[in-house]
Amino acid sequence: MEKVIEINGLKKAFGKTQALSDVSFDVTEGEIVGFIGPNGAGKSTTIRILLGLIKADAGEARIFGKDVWKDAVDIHKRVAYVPGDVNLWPNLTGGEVIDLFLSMRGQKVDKQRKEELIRHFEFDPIKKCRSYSKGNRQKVALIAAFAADADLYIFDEPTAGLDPLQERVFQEQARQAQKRGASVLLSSHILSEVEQLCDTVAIIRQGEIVEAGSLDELRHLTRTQIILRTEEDALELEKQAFAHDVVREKGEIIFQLDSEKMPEFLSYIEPFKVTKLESAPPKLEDLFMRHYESTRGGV
Amino acid sequence: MAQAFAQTGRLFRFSLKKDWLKIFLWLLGAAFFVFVGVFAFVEVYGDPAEREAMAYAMQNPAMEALFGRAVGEDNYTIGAMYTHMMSIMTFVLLAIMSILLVVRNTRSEEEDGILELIQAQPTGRVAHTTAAILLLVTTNILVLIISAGVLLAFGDSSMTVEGALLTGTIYAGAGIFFGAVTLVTAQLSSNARGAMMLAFGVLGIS
Repeated sequence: MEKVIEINGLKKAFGKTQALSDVSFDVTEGEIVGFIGPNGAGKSTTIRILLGLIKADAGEARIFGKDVWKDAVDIHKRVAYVPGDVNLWPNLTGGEVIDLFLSMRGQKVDKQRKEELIRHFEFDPIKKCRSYSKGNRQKVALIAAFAADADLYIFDEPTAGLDPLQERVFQEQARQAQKRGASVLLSSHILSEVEQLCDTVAIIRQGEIVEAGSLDELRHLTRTQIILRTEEDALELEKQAFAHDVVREKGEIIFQLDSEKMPEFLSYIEPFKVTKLESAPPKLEDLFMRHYESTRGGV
Repeated sequence: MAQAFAQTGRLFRFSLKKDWLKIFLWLLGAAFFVFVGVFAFVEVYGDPAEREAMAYAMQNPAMEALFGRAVGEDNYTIGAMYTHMMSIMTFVLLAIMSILLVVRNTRSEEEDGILELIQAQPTGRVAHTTAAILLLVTTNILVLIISAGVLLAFGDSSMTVEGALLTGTIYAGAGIFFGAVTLVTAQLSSNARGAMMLAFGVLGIS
């Protein structure tokens, strides 16, 4: 598969603030990649560099094999971008703005597709932008992006301001784009969204990619939450190496299990006559929290 | 280099589309301002003796400081008088128009994140600013045509075609100059308000 985005050792400083210290990851063709990290970690800065809005101090970033700074105009013909906070000209209608954005791409506008998207997002294109709420302004950018039939979609926290129903419409459209063969880079700090949509994630923290890979791969690093009820009390559980954060509550034991230690745990717990066993799959949240905590721990 | 200007034309047409009402009202205002000036001068100073008295008053240092050294005092026609006395006020008016126009089309859009959206489209890096400059120049050329037209239509015989065109050109030049100053302050200041204040500051000093 071809690489759509290649980023290698990207660095950027704003004055004394080092916004990006070492960012490297790839997006492969036909992939939806989640780009997650806490606020101020460098997500938007990375995206701005990718869009050629600002110039990186060091490192290399390529889209479709072209340099993001020098060939920005060429690249943008095949890229659609939606920022997290969309502002528009107050005295134009939403429909006019959508048409402007589409016309700048130099392609023929697929009217039917535009109408369809407007219907899906339940958007009113004849009102002036002044009267739109944040969510509605967001829809203008989303509709213009999805109607554009791009090869790469870059979303920077696109669903901020959308209600849950519209969020689902967004996810559906992103999946359809993927089916057409397009790639998607989705920056977010809403983990459930990334979890539902993405196959691969890159986690950024303080301007550095701390983890990148497929979701399944990353889950191996995490722990599974187990809720357990036994007939005979498993008093020794706390002493086992695979169990963490053991809590006893109303006759139930709740703890974190190292995911790869599942067989050991099962053979250990068997003699205690298990009456209830629930296991929750590791959430991206846990993954995220671990990385987040490690900053404070100084790891 | 051609890439840097890609889509300038489309952006320019678009900025015309979104701003035409504001520009139209400003031009109407400017035309009215010129018209009232000319009309009042013809009305009040119709008598050559009155003009002579005024020419004499203009030699007063205070008046000179305010309006600049008078030209053609020995033959102080309405045309000379108008250009002399009204220029400074028209400059200020057009400078304000140009400053607002440039800030609205550059710094404010950058601040609102609109610029980001536009630059993410296949547009050149300087296309947006170039479109704003084109808009500024177009508007001021319209000022030139309109003010020269008004002067010719309503002024008296002392206002020649050359004189009217010259006056219009000076007006347009003032507008473009302050627009250009604003382009610079827009880069210096961290927000639109600051850019506007800086530009007005320059206007105040001059």
